[in-house]
Amino acid sequence: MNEPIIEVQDLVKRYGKLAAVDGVSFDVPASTTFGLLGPNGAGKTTIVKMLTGLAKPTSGRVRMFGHNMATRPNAIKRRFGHVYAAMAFFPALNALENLTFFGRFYDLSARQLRERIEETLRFVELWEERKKAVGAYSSGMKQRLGIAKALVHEPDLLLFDEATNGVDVEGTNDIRELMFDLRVQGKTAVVTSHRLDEIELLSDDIAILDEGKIVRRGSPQSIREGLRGLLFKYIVERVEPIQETWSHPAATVRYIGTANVVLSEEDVRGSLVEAFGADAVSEVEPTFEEACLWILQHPEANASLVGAETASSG
Amino acid sequence: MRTIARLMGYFFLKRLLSWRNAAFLLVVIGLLMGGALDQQATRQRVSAGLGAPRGAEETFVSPVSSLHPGSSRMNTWEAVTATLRMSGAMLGGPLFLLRAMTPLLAFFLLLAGLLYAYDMVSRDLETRLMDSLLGLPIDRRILGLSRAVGETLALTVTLAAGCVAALVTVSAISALHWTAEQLARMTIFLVALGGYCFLFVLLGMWISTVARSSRKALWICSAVFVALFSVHAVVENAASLDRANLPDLPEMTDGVWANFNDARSRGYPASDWLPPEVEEYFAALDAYSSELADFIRSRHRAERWWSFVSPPGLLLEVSGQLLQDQYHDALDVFYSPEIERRPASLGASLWKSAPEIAWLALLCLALMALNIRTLTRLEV
Repeated sequence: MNEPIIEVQDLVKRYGKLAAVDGVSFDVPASTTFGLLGPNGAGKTTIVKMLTGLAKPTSGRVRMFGHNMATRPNAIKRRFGHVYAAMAFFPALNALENLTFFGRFYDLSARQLRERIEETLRFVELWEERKKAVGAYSSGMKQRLGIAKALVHEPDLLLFDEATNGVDVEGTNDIRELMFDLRVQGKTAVVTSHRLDEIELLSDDIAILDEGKIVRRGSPQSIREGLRGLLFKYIVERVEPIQETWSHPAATVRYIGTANVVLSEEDVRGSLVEAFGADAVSEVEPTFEEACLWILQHPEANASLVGAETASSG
Repeated sequence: MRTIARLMGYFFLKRLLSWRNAAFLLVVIGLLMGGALDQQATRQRVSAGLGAPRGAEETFVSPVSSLHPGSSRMNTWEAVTATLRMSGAMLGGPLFLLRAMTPLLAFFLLLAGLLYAYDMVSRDLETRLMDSLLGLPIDRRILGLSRAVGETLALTVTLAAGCVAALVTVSAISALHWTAEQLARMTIFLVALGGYCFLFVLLGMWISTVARSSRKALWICSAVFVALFSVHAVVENAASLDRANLPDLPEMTDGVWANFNDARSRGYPASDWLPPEVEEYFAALDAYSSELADFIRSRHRAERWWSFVSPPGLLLEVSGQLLQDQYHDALDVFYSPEIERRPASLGASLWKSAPEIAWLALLCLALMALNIRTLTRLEV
């Protein structure tokens, strides 16, 4: 097992009476991409802010690269790069000047910095736009420049906090591709998003957060598999909606034009086959998105599972 | 140190080359040039009226006759300014022009400092640039210190450039000569002016950090400006000289009146012999002047403490001493038997204004410490 790069223990962050993060613990080993997933207000960004030293925990401990964030923040900050939603730069400066400004605070010689800036700008495909004032960049270009900024000092860890928020479809795709390239390169990363597909695509290990607590932890596959016996999914091949002819208190039906998707907390295959015939009904595995939504809608079911999941992953 | 220099240089240049700074420079030059030209024109009219033969050191007004309901500091300041303005030989040279502009600068710079800094931190919080800045591997104290010093330096350099441009232009127009000592006095005063700006930049920066919103910070800074203006006005009014407490001006008897009135027909009395009545009157005037000077001095000692709650008062006190080269102590403008024994010097003026300069420096340090503490605890 790799030595963990991030060790978080019993992390709590309170704003007045509200606990934005409530007793969160996790480890992130090297060369893994750890995804933090949850609805808005679940505490994802607050956790990243505590990981980056932008917010101080009310209690609990953050250790990264063997250092305590509370006592050696700068030793940690030298080793990570942070990309957040709507990255901000000095708008009057161009990309080269912005990266030079930020890059100078890391232990790089002038020559190394020049080379790294060129390398990273080429990686994010902004080399041709390097002399354009950043104020004139699109949101997608700014986020790509943010990735270049995060990479310029060759960090050992990357933190992506809602990095594709507010970016158009094309920009989002570009950024995801860059993040995927970094994953292929073996970079350690923490990714937060409320976009389930993004997290599933990018993460090896995922923690699902709700109201400041981790409610489920594991790989995308293990999270789906963890719902076996709890969540069932069926496709009923009918060109018309089936809600008028069939219903079950444990099931919800969604008509998708050419078929009906049935999600149920009980095994209702028998009932469906009886109503529509065996040929029209097929059981499939719930998607990651459906699994996550179910998890977030059933906090009571998580209480018994989260301990075992967290223990096995952590 | 390299980090501080790098950050300071960056914030200095960023501010120096900003549109807000360009506007500030234009306003400073416009205000100072207009004011200085007006003051210089008045001085030239007076000078022409008095005529050169009356002697280089002669002044037209008596500070005693110009006493008005105001603090003793204000009366002293006015009296020295009037002495320089009404002199036949352009006493004080360019010092007078900068001095005459100080009351304006005291309030203008208070406002400018606050307006310079009201969004210094809040804007970066709003745009999330602060996330990037605080994410850098730099001590937050260094970040705060470099920013405050860099931005104030830009403000001070702009202000100094504006003052020098205006004074040099006015001096050239009116063929006014500068001495080395006058230059030194103005340089020291401009440094003090920088410290004065620094105070309000630091105050605005702290408000900006605590408010976390530029809009909110602008309102608070406006309220602070009004509050400081009011404090100054209240202090000045509270310190107003009550004429009832002033010593009584000796009455001119009919005999003395007649002596002066008839002097034209009888000839002016010789300086080595005066009619006894006139001699007595002059002695009474001397005693009155001396008593008045003592009264002003004792009031001034008390008022100096009051100035410590009113930054514009501090600046006016410093300008009162530094921007004049006629008196050892500006208070000597009121008659004092010691006046002959105490020649004016830069050292003396500095010594006299040292408590105010020290208090200004102390306030800056306190606000700097407060800013560093707030920035260190800032969460984004």
